Amino acid sequence: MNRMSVVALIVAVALGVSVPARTQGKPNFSGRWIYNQALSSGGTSGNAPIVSFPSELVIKQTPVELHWQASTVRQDAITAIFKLDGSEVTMAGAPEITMRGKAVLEGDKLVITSKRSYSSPAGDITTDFKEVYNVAGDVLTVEKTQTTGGVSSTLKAVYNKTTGR
Amino acid sequence: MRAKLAVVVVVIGMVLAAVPVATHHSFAAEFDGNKPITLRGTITAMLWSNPHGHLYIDVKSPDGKVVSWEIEFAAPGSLYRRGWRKTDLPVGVEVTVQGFLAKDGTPTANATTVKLPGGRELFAGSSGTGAPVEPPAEGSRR
Repeated sequence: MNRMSVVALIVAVALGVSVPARTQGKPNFSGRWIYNQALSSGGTSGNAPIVSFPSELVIKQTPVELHWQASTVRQDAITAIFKLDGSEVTMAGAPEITMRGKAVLEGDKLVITSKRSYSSPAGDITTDFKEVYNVAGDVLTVEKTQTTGGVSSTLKAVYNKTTGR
Repeated sequence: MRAKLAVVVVVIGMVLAAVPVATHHSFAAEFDGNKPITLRGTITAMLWSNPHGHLYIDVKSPDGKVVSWEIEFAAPGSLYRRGWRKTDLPVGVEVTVQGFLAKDGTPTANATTVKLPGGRELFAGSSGTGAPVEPPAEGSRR
């Protein structure tokens, strides 16, 4: 086999490998994801986190919907069935809090934006969240920006996929 | 006489033992992690007490009413290790507090960070696992 043939073979193999990756279409975020404190930013867990992340995410993705549940130890779990066309839906789970949110796929990323409204002795409070999800095999990375009272904080958390409890 | 003295000692011991139990609690027992809050107010007092420090600030509500808020901190020892000093929170200074609302609807919050005049920001999170986790050093094993 001459040099040209070897080059042609390598190119053909490279194309063959890359085609399935491109044709897989949308990334899939389905799974039960457990928070990994060692790989996550400081201030994402424990008492009074700077940006609060759930300890467990359960996601079931269909071509048009995203069933999403975020659970945190000793806190109310928050659930939503997002339409992947980006339309706004009502999120449920935490009493006394009104939650609306939407999810869209932007390339390889899933972006969930949501708004929470609740009352306090300081008046009504609105907190905005933007969560950007990236999946690579059994690792899910979530970058979350929390804005309340005009102050924003952004931190990143890492989750590992699990199959059993 | 000896029996009476023993009863008195036991009662005093029970009373003393009950005080810390009544004041120490978990974050989730009193605060709502789903309700973050940002408060801007003027310091009226700071108690460097155990097991939690307590900051008191006057916050003006949107309706113009001034509400006194109690902000729970970590224990003074933890705060000291994070760089806090008693001179950092003088009465009359305006601070911005980020934290989480109390579940019972009172003007009480658990602090995450406090921004001081001049822009210095310190972590005030509650004791236990509230302290930020140090990220692993570049290239270190995980």
